[in-house]
Amino acid sequence: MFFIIFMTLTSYTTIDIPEMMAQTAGRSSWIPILFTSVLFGISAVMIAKLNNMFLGKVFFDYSQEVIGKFFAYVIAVYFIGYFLMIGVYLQYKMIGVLASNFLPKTPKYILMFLGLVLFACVSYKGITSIARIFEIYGISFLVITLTICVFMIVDGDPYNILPLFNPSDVKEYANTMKDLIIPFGGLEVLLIIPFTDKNKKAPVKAFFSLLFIGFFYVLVVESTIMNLGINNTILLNDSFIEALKITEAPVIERLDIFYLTFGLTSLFSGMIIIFCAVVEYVCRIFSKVKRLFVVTAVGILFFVVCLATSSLKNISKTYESFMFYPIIISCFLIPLVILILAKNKKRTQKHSRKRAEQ
Amino acid sequence: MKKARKALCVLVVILMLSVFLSGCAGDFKDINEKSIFTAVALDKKGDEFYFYVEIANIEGSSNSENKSGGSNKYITVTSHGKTITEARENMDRQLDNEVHLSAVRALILTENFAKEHLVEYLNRLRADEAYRKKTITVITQEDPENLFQICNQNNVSVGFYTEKVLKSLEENGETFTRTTTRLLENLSAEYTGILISCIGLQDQNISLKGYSVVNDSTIVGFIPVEEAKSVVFIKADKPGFDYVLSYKTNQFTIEVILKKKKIKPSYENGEINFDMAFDFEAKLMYGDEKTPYLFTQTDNANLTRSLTEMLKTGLIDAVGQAQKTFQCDYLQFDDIFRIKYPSQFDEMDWQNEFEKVTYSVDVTVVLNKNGVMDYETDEQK
Repeated sequence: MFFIIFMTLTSYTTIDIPEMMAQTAGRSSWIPILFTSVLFGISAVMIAKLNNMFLGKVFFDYSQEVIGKFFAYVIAVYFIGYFLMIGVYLQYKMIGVLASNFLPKTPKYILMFLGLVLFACVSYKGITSIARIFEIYGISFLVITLTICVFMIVDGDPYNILPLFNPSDVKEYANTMKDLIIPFGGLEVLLIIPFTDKNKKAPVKAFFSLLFIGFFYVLVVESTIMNLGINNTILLNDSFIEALKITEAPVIERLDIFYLTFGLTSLFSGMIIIFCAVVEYVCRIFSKVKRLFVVTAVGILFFVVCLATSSLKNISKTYESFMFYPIIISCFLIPLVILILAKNKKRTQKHSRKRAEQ
Repeated sequence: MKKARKALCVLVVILMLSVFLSGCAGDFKDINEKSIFTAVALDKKGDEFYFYVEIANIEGSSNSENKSGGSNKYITVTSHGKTITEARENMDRQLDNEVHLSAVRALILTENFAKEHLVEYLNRLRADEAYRKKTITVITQEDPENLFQICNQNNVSVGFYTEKVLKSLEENGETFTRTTTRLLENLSAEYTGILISCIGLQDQNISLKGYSVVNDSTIVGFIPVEEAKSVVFIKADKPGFDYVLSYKTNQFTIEVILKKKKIKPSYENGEINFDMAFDFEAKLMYGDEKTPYLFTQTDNANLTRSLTEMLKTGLIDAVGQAQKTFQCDYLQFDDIFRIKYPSQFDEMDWQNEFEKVTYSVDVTVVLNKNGVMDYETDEQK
């Protein structure tokens, strides 16, 4: 579970979170990041508790029991659209990284197509296989990124991150936390994972996973600012990659290329789980259709939406301004409402059972 | 059916690997098909911008290993134009291969050019994703043509040589280097005061000549390397220099290494003060007279006092020079003050405040007698 949350949330955020943070909270970024991670930790606890209440079932199945078939279908359709939007955004980010660092002349639609073929193949295998892949990808990505951050800190200038707290930045914390919703969005993929008896401690684990991701983001932001300086971090789009370009490391001359080799696994992982989430929901809605057809149809849908939105001028900005409420609804509102109703229903059932026994 | 599916999977994997590993539509390019820049120099003569690039001659250098002598390892190409862009475009028109900027070791700007166009060119560098950001930026008062001509005649790269000279000096504690990204960070800040290493020719070799003082976006002065020891003590991480001190009839050479420095700002009643404390370790190396020196405890104390005075005067003069001569805080006092008083700093105009800053310097020197030589008297033993 940890690696699913970790790889989904950090997929592209690692690269652009330093720029986002430097623009708003500046050198005090670590405070809003940790606050937000605690908030989303609460959301993770709610989702894990819900899954624990209905062992062996996914959200779509047990939501039918709680709120009825109609609303369960409405929420499922909403989640399909929601994950589709996240997927399109991640797809663009992945293509951007590939195009600017490795394949500048390859047409973007070819990268898009090949990427989707890969994601479709993996998603076809189902969530269990994906979880296994994530364990391998996750460990390598985590170890490499942490090691690189250590190099960056050793090579960086402490003047750039000091003072760690500036009272004049406090008024920006609210705006910063609003911006931080995007890097923490995607947590709802937990809703497609059926829990078993072994996941009894999942709520605690989920909370600490989010807290860990918060610390991970802090490390990435601080090490980038230490190397680039606050002004460069604000100005450069892929600031983490730019910081790697000037970091001195033993043996490796191009630390950015070294990182991207592993960093891309994170982007791929993010895309794989989002693709899988869409597939899972569509499979539940159209339970009689073969998974292979669903996977193909979702792939085509992604490809068409990606092509259709490619003419949009600034996809990132549009996405960031548009996704605030959907993420709040998906991470907090829906799990909270379902959790309250589920608890209420279970309590009512318990009472009626007791009455029947009496 | 299963076999067909497996074959299809293998085909997809092969197709994807071929694209992702080599790219299509010309993403892959052999190293021989690129003009690898190792140094870039810019000059301004009159209204004309001059662009000099040093290109690694890969084919030529491999040939020269086979034949004796042969062609140069580096080729210099020059272009000029009315603007930087025009000069660069004229450069591109002369090159037979695609430009590769990821190997540029040194960016050399003449003083004439840097006075007006330092920010413009460094911004250009930052915006170019392919430009090597670890590149060291230096200023020169020489004609770049001479630099390239002399180095290339000796089959030495101006870019690599400049980088190595500065890096080895930094390792010895005799200078400090700043990457171009660091310069850009300073140039993007509200207040800019920086020192950029200045190189020149000394007996047909590239050497560090001093430091160009950059205030805001233009060069306002020059500090020769011989007069910059105290500045290096304030700015570098582990600096060390040799000093020659007259004592009695002897000229003693003493190695001085900075062990610890602390610069503490204070802000009271609108007045900024810096208390600077420097702890040095010194080693008596040798004198210019025949031994024995009959060096007593009193001699040690006297020599330490003289050295302390010398270092203290040097440090006070270094701060005074920044404040009065150049009116520019290239000593990074702004950062030190900002860290302790962030809110107050945000409301200040540091350019004005720096000139009014007061400071005190406290120097401690420990003259180490446990070096290679023992100059104590027999009686003491």
